[in-house]
Amino acid sequence: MTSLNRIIGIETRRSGVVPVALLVAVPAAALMIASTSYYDGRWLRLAVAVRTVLQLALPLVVGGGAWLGMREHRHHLGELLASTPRPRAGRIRPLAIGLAGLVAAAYLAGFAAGMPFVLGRAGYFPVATLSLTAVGALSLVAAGWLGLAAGRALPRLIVIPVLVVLTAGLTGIGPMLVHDSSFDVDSVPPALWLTPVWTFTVQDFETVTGRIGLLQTIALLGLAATGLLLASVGRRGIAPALVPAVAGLAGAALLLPATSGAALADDARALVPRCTDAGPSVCVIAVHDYQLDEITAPAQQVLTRLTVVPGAPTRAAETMMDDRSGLPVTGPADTISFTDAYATYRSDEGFSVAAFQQGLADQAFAPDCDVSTIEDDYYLGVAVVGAWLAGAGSLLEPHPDDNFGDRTVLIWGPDEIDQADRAIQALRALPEARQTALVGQVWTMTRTCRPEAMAALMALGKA
Amino acid sequence: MRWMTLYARSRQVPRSLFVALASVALACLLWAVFSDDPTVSDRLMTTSVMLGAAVLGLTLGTVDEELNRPAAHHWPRRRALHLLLALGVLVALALATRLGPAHFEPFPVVLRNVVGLLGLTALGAVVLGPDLSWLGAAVWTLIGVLPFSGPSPDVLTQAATWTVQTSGTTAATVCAAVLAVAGATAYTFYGCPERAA
Repeated sequence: MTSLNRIIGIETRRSGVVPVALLVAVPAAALMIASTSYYDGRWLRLAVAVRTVLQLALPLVVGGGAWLGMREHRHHLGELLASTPRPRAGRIRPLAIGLAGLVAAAYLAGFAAGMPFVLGRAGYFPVATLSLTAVGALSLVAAGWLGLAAGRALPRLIVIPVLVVLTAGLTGIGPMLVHDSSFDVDSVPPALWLTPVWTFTVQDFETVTGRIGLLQTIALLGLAATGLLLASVGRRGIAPALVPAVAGLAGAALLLPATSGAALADDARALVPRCTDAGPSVCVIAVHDYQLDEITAPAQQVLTRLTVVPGAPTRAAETMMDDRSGLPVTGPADTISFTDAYATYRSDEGFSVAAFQQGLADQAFAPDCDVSTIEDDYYLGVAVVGAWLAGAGSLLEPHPDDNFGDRTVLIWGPDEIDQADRAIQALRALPEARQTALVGQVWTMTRTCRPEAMAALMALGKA
Repeated sequence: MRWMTLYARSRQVPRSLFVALASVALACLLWAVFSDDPTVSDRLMTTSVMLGAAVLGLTLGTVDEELNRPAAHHWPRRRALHLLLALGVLVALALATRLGPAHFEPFPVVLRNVVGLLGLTALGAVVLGPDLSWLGAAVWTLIGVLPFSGPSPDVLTQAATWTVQTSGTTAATVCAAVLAVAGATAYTFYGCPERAA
């Protein structure tokens, strides 16, 4: 074994295995560092992001494997090696093991590059992270061995770029184009789950079922075995070498779900609420635990201002989005519901406290009736209440914690902003008791579906 | 003429031309079968163009550069002409798609990608030799066609994913132009690295 390890070490150093692994590890790590907003604070998203980068890594590893597979031909060693008593399988084994080890390590390097943005922030670790990562690494091993076999079978340099493009087309670009032309996840053929490149949209609170991990593992083990056998055996062994790939793909096809959407399921543990210990209660779902520190103070500021309004909500909690309305699914009467705060209120500039607080106000003062009968003035009134709750003197005034102004004012024109600002200033100029009474009055009227309540508020600015 | 024939054969030009043609034809065929849109997806177009540039990149050198160099030819002129012809082939193939049901469009984007990727391939031929000349173009293209790559207002992202930026994106155009000029200049004056026979 020690002798084999030594040979593996020598083969790994002298062949092109290290450059192939670097060709995967360096761009993968760079891409992970460049796209942190997709996965930060979430383990499953990190695993999914690295699986997406397989669209780049798989073709390169197939090409790299082919380059290594045609090594003997390139250096005109075929005849010399054919005359040695050592069987081909024995010669190829150290190279195959070295390639498998390093490309798997390169995949893990991509994962490791994203870890600093999750480690210590994520309060929830979905177990599926491990299977997603293991399958990703296995896919590169299979790709490398299939490349070795292809390089040996077709030792022409022109084959390598063709293989790279065909692999990219089959595993990543093709499936992506199918997704682009589909309306929803269930209109996508379930066969797309056969590719190890991640092409589906997954919500933070969802997980991929174990069935998908299992079918991908079966398919990839079959392909890897076929790749290794084809790289090792002579002409007579070609047909038997194809058996593992055929069996693996057939087994995987049998395990495919009836619809693509069935492969994703809500993760009950990701949906468990995590709440603040002190002050008015603010809750997020477990998978968004990392957001709690940043959103607690702004949410509590709104809740504290609302305490003067009789019957108004006393807590804020994250819920799911209603697919039909695009609004948060409402919870108990004492709770303001909001959806994923970072996904909704964070941009490249950072988390917008002002926009988040406005979102909470919108939800707290949402009319309790058919919204189709509500006029635009109502929502401008809610913007006024939102600014009042946040302590802002104008719709354009950013929150002190924001270094950019965004109270979602983009939806309003200059005249409307002017009208709202006059109303805000007039409201704030009133005695404190009168202010709270007026806001309380608006709150009560929205509960009984009398949206004209806002008219009184907006009239303040016209006086 | 005889010299041209021998030159083309020594660099396996016919095989590369066939693969470049097949690459564009296959992309158009697949698109025409599976989509109603006459314009081929920019990702598919770019990948197809990249394969064309890659296989033509293999013709930029020969098996023995050391043997070639002492020949009494004005190599820089011939190398520049070779590159220009490769560019002409790729542009002609892209334009020819207009005759079929699936087109490579818009033309400024196609031209930018052809010029930039061919320049990058020429640069690869100078640095890595013709066998691996396509590597840089392949890696950069594959980064550009990732699901999260696309048109962006950020200049750095525009440069990093220049192959999929929209027409008129300055950073993408500049990136392609720099690659083209650098690749063409380096290849014309230096050629591929010499290797032992």
